Amino acid sequence: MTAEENMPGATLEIAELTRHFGSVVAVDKVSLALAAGEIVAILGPSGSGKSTLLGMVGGQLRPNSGDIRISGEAIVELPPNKRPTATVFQDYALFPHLNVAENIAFGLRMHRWAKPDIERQVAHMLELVGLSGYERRAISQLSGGQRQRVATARALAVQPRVLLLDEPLGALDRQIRLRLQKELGELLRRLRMTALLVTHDQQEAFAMSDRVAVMRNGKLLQVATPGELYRSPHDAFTATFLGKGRLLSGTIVKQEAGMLVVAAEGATFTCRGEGQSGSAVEVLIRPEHVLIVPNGSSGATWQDVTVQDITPAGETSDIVLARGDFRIESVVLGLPVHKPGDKVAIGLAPSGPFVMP
Amino acid sequence: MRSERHVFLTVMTAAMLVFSLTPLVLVSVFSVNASRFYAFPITGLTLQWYSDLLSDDRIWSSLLSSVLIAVGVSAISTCMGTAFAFVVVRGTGRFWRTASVLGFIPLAVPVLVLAAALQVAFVEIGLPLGYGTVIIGHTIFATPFVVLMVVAQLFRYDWRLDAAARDLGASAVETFRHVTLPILMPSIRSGAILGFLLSFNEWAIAFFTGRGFNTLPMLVYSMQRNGLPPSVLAYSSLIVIFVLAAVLLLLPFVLRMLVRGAAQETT
Repeated sequence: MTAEENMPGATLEIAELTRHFGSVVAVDKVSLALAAGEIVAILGPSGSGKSTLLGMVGGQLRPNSGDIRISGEAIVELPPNKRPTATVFQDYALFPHLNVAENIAFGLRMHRWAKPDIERQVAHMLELVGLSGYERRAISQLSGGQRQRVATARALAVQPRVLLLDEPLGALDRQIRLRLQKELGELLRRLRMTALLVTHDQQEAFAMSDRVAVMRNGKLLQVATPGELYRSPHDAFTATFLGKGRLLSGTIVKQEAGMLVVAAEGATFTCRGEGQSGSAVEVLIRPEHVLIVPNGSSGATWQDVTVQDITPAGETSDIVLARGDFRIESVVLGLPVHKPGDKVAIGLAPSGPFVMP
Repeated sequence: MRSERHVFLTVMTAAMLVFSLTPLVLVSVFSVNASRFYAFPITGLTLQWYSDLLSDDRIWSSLLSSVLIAVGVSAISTCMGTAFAFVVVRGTGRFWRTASVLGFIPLAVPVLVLAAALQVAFVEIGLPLGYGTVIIGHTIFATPFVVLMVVAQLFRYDWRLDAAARDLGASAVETFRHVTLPILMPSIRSGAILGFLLSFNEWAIAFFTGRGFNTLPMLVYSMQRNGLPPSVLAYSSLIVIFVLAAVLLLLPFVLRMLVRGAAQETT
């Protein structure tokens, strides 16, 4: 009896889900479908309604309208203890009066598992999260990362069809967070667990999930793979929430070989995207697409640009370039060869700039 | 500055301890003094008064009455106080808010007034005065203290623990039984001890609403009406030791709550 056989992921369909708090619409007609075994992150700033959405799937909150189905079965009317979901809570909500093994066994006891089965499952879960030998430890004796693992093990132990994770790594230090992102993502994939993850951390969302749903003011703005979302965001909020970049107003000049030629800030350059010639558009240019070349280089997009500011950020450096009132950010690996005040030109990486729909 | 403050605190602490402990020490000293007169110098040591006290049959029947009543009060006030603490902490809406304030009124009423009022009430509704009426009276008196004990911990209770239990398959009842109650147990236990002590030491309500028996405080009160016999001092010393032991049981929990509360204030 392995975990892989035990835990078939199920599909999750959320349809037109809405929840008000008084006059505030926390979640506004959200629809989202997860395939079996798919990991989807809901990414948004605090107050975007993402935790409310998760709470409605877990059953802590009731929706005002809409439907939630797991493998086709409606669960909205079910209390949380009857739902085939399990939640890894923000800050874990581990039971302080129980030790590690008892925490993991809690759900199994509530589901009336036989004692030998409980023992076997607890041992198996601890092995899965790499905490074998910690059975008798008190929760207060665990580090943040270990608590996170216990919370994950406790939720997985009851063999949920869908796992819900609320800011699972939000309370951890950066280094542990990066390691656990990878571990947790790999674990969920190995178990083919269908998982809905809520986070405000873009890196966490990108590292762990197959698709990311960007949420703001109770609405889903865009649902796509991390790469697609980063390269081709559909709106200014998504564009700037997921990384740095400059949005330029421009006009489409013409279409050429599947690309668009856009005029903006006194230059013309090719972009990805769709649109009609002559229409006003917003263009997203990410720092890594802004290439610093010697001033006067032929083919440069903007000439006579001044290096205004350099901020070393470890493995990369952020560089602010200025041309009159026009400011744009670039990024280089390591330390730049330029100094503030240098005259340079800007080239744009081919198929970097993106015309937002 | 720092050392001056240190000296000040030391002096104040010492003054407070001397001030509050002197009567207790004096009672203990005179309880083993050979003379019947409470005056220095000590004329000799004796355990005569203790032997007088313990050979008095009335002491043992009173002790039994006191313990019976205190156990009953402790049990009832702990259950009621715990339930009421939930109303205080979780109650929303005008009705529950008002109710949670009204429940604390016995704390503010002088015990003598409460005792007299209870006697009038019991007589009025025709309840015969006896063990039952004393237990009811003491429960009214002790429950708000139990509530305070439980409320202190309940205010800091992380309700997501309940949500986690429900999420893992526990029903509402199972959640209360396996999560909420065990986590609150330290404060409930302290409330039970406090309820016992409050009843055990209470005189006025027992005197006004009890008939047909003497609790220990009632007995002592009757013994000292014609001057204070040394056996009352012996009784006092024993009670102080008993209460001290009980308070020491309570103290670690109260201190922990204070420290945790302070830690939460600063974070």
